[in-house]
Amino acid sequence: MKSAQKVMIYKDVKEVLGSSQLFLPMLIVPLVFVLILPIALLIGAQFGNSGINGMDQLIKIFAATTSFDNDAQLLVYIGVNYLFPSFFLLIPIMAASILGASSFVGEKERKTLESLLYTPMSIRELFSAKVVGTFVPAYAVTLFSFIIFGIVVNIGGWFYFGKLIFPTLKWLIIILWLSPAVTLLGIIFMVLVSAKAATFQEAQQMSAFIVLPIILLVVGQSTGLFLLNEIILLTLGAMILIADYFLMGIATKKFSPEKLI
Amino acid sequence: MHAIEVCNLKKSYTQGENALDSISFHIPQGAIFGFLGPNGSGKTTTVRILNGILSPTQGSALVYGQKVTANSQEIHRLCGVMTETAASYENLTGWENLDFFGQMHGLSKTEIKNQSEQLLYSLDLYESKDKKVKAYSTGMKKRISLARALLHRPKILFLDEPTSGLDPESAQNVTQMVQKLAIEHGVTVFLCTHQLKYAEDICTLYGFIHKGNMLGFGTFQQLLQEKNSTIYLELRGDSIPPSFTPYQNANKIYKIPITGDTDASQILQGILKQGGQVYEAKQIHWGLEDLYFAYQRGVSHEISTKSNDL
Ligand SMILES: Nc1ncnc2c1ncn2[C@@H]1O[C@H](COP(=O)(O)OP(=O)(O)OP(=O)(O)O)[C@@H](O)[C@H]1O
Ligand SMILES: [Mg+2]
Repeated sequence: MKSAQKVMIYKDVKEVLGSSQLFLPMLIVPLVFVLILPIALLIGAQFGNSGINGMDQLIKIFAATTSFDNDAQLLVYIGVNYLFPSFFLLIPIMAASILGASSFVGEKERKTLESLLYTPMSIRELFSAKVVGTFVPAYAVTLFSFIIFGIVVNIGGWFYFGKLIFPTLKWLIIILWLSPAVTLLGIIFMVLVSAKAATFQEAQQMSAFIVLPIILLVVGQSTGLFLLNEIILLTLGAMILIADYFLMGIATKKFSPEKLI
Repeated sequence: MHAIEVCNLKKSYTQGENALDSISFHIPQGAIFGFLGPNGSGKTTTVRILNGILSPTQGSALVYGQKVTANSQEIHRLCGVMTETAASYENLTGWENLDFFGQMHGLSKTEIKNQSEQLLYSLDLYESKDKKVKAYSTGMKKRISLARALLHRPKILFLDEPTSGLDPESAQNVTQMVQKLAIEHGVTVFLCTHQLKYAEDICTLYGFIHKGNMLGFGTFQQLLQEKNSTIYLELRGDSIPPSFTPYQNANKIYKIPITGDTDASQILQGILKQGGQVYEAKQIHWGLEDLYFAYQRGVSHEISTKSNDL
């Protein structure tokens, strides 16, 4: 990586930190997902209530097949392993689309992209710097959320199970395999959008197309329709990565000055 | 070797419509080239092609002998560009902007510091260097863009409307600075503007463009010669026979290109003989504005045949 690219990445990250419009949603949404919701679940479990709608069906399925010491354990187990994983797809997608919208479409909207095009950095270098510069903070947000979630869950888990219940293999697959793939997907999507969208807002609206399927997945999870096991997760991640690879090829072609100014 | 060489350059954004229609010209090193034309005539398009960020539909362009389509990175090292469509980062301060772009150009920290300080001083921005660019006025934003374009000491400077939005004092300051760069450092300047007054002050070479066609190219003298005239007769009158008046300004003022005193007298006699009334007549030397309109109007439909007779 050339030093100009590093400078560019550093600038992009600094811009995010300096803008509350970008920074706040990336702080608040994950905190709701990994701090407030799990705490609600852990406290609710004590009263035999998940506090989260749509878990009843899952509970029925698990109560029949798996044995737990008590209902609270059952609730916590289901919540942690079947409800929350999807949030770790939502968080990177959200972060990638906010950062991507700012980094790709925002530069175009604010007319700074053309200024970059006049520097000695080639369009390919610019592209890869922008992808890395978006990926790193987006994935950092995800990892950071994962750590907080891990702490919360383990504190609760200790209380209900008397042992550390996190992370499981499934969780590691999600965070190290699926999340990065999805982060990249979100970024590529934003690059593709950047050729079409004229403003940051427009890009955000378009990115709803990618967030919606994931929300559906979340709903599906909590009603017991989607019970993803390790193999499915690994396959899913591989499929997304393959999609990433091909879409990246298209995105690289689309990212030409001709289309951007 | 010419600083800029353009050969049969053509650009169409959409099928069948030419933003640039086979233009050719070359600019020697150290010239201040005034590229003048109305809105949408293709000035910015030319600047973008010459900097390799748009590719031409046809034809070729060389900057210091290098093909702009082949080695745009080298071109970007040679050229500094300031256009209205290339802005600074609003959330960074003026200083941070220069620092960022300096690093993007691969300049060292001390180089950036020295150059930035000097540019900020001469562009009267030093006091605002730690303010975010979004807090700058239009004119200050213009000037910080200019500082950015000059940061890496380019050999060719492209300025797209550098003085629009500037107060007369800053505009003059900028024009003088540009002139100094050309004279003292041999920087070639490619200046697109609507502000003929500033162009007239500093340009050594002109190009008049209209709808992607180069109507005239050369030094002021060459262009005058091409129009076969260095002076015109300005008349105020009524019922002037149309054969005498290719260009009419408002309020019954007419401008008639002439070659000298005899010509003037003959024209006046002619007008009077054909029943025209003359209240006032004066010989005036062509200014850039006159020349510009002579060329630009030369293309517009009704008058085009007449102007060819001149
Ligand atoms: N990205 C683009 N897509 C399609 N058409 C374009 C694009 N950019 C410019 N054009 C068209 O090309 C022609 C020349 O535009 P250009 O911006 O070069 O004019 P200009 O001389 O710089 O005008 P101005 O003085 O208003 O800045 C115009 O007809 C314009 O509509
Ligand atoms: Mg323009």
